[in-house]
Amino acid sequence: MITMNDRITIKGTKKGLLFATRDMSDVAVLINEMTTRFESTPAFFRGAQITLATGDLVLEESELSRIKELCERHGASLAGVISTDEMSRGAARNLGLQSELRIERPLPHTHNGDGDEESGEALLVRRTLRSGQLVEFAGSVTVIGDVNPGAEIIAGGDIVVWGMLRGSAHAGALGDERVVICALQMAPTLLRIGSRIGRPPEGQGIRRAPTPEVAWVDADQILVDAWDVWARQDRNRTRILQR
Amino acid sequence: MPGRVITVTSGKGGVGKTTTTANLGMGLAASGSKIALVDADIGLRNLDVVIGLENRIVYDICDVIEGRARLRQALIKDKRFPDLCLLPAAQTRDKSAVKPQEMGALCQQLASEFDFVLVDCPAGIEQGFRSAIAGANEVVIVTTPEVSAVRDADRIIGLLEAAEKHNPKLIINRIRPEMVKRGDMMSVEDVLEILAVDLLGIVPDDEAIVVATNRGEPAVLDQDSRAGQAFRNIVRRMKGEAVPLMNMDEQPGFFVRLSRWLRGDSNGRVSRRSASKVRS
Repeated sequence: MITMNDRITIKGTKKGLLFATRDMSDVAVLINEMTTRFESTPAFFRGAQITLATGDLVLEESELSRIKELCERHGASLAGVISTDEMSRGAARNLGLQSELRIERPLPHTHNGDGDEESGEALLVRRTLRSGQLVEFAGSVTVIGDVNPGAEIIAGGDIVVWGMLRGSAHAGALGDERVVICALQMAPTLLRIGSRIGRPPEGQGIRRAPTPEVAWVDADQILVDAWDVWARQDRNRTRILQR
Repeated sequence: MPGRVITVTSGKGGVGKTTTTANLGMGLAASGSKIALVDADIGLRNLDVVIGLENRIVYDICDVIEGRARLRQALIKDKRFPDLCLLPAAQTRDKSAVKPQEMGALCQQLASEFDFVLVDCPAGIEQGFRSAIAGANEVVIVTTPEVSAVRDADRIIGLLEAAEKHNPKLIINRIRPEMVKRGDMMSVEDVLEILAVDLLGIVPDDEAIVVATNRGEPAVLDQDSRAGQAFRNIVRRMKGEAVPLMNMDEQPGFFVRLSRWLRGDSNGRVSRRSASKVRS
């Protein structure tokens, strides 16, 4: 489940709760917001594993320690910190917490090119991803450009490619399987949503899809179909409205 | 004005970097420019062989960097064009022997004396590659129209962007027009669709290259070689001229075949104008 307010978004994932901040530059505000959330619905947070995604907010070790205690006071535990700030990641490691984005396998570094804009929930990548480049982000990722074979996108949310998707894309990497992968031209080497894996049919060579297509999970499988076919499914349309 | 430092790279091995470096270097020298060729493939040097200067190597790039020889001593003047010089690689060392800063400084030094410095990059993406691009103002990427080569070239372009070497140019080498027509080989458009960089030129697959390599006489000097013609066109483009892309389909026209016949090659076959024999 997803709840939103102005500064913190809380997402439920397979690994626990993800607290993602937006436009936050003051750690005191973060602590206040978290305290408010904890106190308004205490039962919801009991026993939860919490991961912070704080973007480039600078977290010192003492501040992070206070947040850790705050979580523990409400019966939750702080598992890790996802941060683009090196000092914050170092602080997390010093406290024995995980840092960066952690999925099934150890992660190579994130490549942030000149055209990448980040704003809390979504990353906009305004360039073509070349073979060997990796973009990973806890929220949704939109690429304006192609994703060449050998390039990879790993996103906690949706993946949208305004171009040709020829590389590999893993959406819902934190466990959310209700996300989608869409592309103007869907010709990937590999698709993953949550824990599901989808491969293109063998022997197609370079496939030219006639229309933009969407990949989504239905009954434990990844399905790929034209944009309008996907949109027509009532279930999915309702979900769009809810967001 | 300092000279242009151009690194010729590819990622994939065997696509024609050394051949391209040799041919462009010789073609530029033939057109009157002062050229320095640098072989950055430490441990697997080839540029000297392709130009036919391997018997003249006394000092190499590592000798210069490590202070055992001056640059002037190590540079080998070409026997055909005195304004063309080669700085050979070391054969008994490996790619850890030259650091990027050292190569950068060396290229700067050469650029102060030559119009063009062409650096032959080794295959791969490790230190050899990083050193070879360190001093470059411009980069030329060589690829063949094959999925594997294009994949590697794409990787290289990504690494070049990260190293702030922007706007590389592309040469597509060893094109076989009949195969492209049959759909068995990627076309120029297929390659550009993935790589999306500016095209510097296209070079057809040509037996003359094999012969030229063995003789140490680059095909750019051979008037009858189609690959040679392609390299000559690329040289002109490098100097700023707008030259249309070669039509790969062309059979030599009637008058060309007639003139060859008149020269004494009765079957109209391409004859080797160069008098040098294959070296044993």
